[in-house]
Amino acid sequence: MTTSQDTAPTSPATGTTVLQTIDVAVHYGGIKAVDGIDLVLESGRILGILGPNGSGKSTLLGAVTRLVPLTRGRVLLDGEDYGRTPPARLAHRGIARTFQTVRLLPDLTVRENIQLGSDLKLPRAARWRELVRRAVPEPVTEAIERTGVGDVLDLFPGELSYGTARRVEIARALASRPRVLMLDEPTAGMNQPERLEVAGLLRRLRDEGLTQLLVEHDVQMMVDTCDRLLAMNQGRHVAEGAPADVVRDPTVQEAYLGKRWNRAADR
Amino acid sequence: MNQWYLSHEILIQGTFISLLLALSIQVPLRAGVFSFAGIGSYAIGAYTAAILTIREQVAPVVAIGAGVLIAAAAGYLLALLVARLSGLYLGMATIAFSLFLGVLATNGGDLTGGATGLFGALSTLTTAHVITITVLVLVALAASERGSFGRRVDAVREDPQLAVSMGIDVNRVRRRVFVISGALGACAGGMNTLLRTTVSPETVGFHLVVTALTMIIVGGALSWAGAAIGAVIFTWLPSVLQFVGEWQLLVYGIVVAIAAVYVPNGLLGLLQEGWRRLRRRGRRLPAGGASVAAAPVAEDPEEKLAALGGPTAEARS
Amino acid sequence: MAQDVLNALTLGSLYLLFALGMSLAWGTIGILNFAHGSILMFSAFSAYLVVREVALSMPVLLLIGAAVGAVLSLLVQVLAFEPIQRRAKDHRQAELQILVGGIGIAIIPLAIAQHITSSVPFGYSGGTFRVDTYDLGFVRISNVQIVTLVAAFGLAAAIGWWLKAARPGLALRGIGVDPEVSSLMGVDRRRLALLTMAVAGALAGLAGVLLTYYLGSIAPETGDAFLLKAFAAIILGGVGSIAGVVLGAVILAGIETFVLVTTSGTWAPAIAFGVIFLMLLVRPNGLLGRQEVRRT
Repeated sequence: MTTSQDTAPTSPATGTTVLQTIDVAVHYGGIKAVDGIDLVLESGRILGILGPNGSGKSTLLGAVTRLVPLTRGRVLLDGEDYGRTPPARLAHRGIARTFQTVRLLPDLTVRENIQLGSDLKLPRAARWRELVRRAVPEPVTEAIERTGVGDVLDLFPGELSYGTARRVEIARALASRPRVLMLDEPTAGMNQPERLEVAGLLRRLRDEGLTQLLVEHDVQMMVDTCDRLLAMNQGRHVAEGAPADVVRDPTVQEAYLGKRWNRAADR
Repeated sequence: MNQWYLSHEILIQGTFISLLLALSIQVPLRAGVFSFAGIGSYAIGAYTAAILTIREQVAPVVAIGAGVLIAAAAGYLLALLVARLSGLYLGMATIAFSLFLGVLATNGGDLTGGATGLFGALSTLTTAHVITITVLVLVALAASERGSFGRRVDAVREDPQLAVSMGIDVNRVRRRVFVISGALGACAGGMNTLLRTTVSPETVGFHLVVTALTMIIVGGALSWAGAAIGAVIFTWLPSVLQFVGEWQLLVYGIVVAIAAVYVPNGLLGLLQEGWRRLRRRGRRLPAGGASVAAAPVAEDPEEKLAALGGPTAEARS
Repeated sequence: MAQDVLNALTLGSLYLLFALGMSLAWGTIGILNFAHGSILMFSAFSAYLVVREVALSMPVLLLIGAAVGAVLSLLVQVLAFEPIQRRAKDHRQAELQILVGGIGIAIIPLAIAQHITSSVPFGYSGGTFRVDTYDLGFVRISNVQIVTLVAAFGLAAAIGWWLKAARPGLALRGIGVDPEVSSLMGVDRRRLALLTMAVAGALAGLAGVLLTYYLGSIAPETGDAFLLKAFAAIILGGVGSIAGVVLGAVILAGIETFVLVTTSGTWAPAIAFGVIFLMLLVRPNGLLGRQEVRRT
């Protein structure tokens, strides 16, 4: 159970392939939500996935985290096919994710919700100790600090503002000390200062070696934050490359962006 | 005291046994598994204990233990069979399984004594044994509601997909829950048989589903403490309500219906809700003079809940 | 042999009358009413209370049964299931509460009937209707059987037609498939739910009175046994499918009759449980179930 003690970000050589998909497709009956996506996630980098609503971004994230069954294609972690690995194993191999909607457990406090993220790495002895004396493991304290949710720890999720709830979700994902962090629209519902804060956090985590896959609507943030962008439309691959190039790509602009993003990328 | 104890011994035994039975439904429910297989396990435990005691004259611990093992194994197999079902469908499949066992008992010939059942299962099991076993079970269950164990079960119930993404093997949790439920049900059934020295198909019927479910719903489904509240209320209600006489069943039905509609988290849920409100009010008061006044108010429910061991008991720092 | 088939068909039509409304409510408005068996019993019981005082004919008793059934069913819906659906935080929670609430409510009429009758079976000997049996040579059929068969299959056909052809019926099916889209399209969910529950209750009431005539007398506890059988019939045929309930009720009654005739009869109650369990494992959608109402 607790074999992956050693997956704290150890900063391997930046730029080696950590996660890869080959011709991944997810079809629901006749609907091709994702249709033949190849992506490469390099260690210590942030890959952004860009696309209009319903372009299959979240489904792709589901497929990569094995919560959505693949219709076709292969998914590789460290060069090894994990298409048949039980989805629950992925967390133990260092993949953490957040969801598009707030999914905090309503009957647990914020602190407990974040602790849930670190529970999979908790040694057996610590689990038993926790029954007697409450202890907050170090990764949890660290995640709380980084996301700045320290003053709401004793509240219940129902008492939080939407933006704060999203930050708690990021904290929960970080509490597992993942190797790869996948974020599904992490700043949705946040105000501008909060967004900048999260973007800054993601960049800092990247600089410390955390590999990230980011699905986001805020194009400015994507351009500022990601090392590479992959643009999708209707389940298909549209463009890929450096953020500034991708947002200027005519196909991408036609599918999704307004003209004003030209300027954003030029800045 | 002693006089009171002697005249109420049957009720005391009944409280603990029905608590174990209620827990055999509550444990799966806490993990979001809507299974009544605990009722079938009760039948397995009851008949195994009776058969072994009457035919082989084994010690009660062996008679009950054998039933617990058989029911746990049956629970595991059942979990594999119904792995793809959930919600009402799972509920009905497990009700069908449990009631089928009752028909099996009716048709079991000499082994189960047919429609009349088995008599004369005399053993050395005492009320003290029953209480000890139940307390041990409660300690184990209370532990499973705390810390990482409790959080992970909560995740499986509230959001199985999220639980998976948190590295929790949801299917394994569900299988375990079936095994535990089987063991609890069989333990209750075995002990009841040995205390009453008899078992018959009528004692393992649909009414057990109703009894167990009502205890959990009225008490509160999310903690062992809720089941305990329910078990106490519904075991003692008939003797308290004697003034209502023949209308006892009616009152019972009305209480259950009202609880199901208006108090979905049971009495324990009400207590917890009240505690949270008090806590929130205390926090909003400005620091300084006002919070001094609030402090003693907040202390009381805290202790109350800690005594009950409810899930929020660990939520404080 | 022919006699057994006829008896099986009669039993099947009683199951059908009872299960029809239950299946309709479950497949469309998502309510599995565990008080349905109690409604059957209490409707029959109310008719008994009336006929004990006034000698009435069969049609009047059927009317009383249907009316009481409809009223009880509406009461359950308004007092229990509607508040539950309004307050429950999610679908699963509502399902559990409706199940438990139904079980609790079911106790109330049972307790009243048991108290009044002292748990002694009751019948309609006070009425004007007399059971006659006609010998057709190869089979003997009673007037109660004829009425039951006609009522069950006739009403099943009528409801099946109503769901396929009439506007409210179509709207109701729409709710069963997608409640949100239906309400966007202006379907008054509440009114349709009340209508469904009233029809379901009336059918249970009819079944109760006919069952009492057919068996001569029933006990207050009869309703509970019917509930699980109806559930078996619904699962067998497929939730929400009218043709499915017909098929399920007839097959279940057929197997039960066969077992009763060929064995000592003590295994008969196991049939319904076995059918429920096996069908859920092998084919939870039932023989004729629609894919979209599956709520597993």
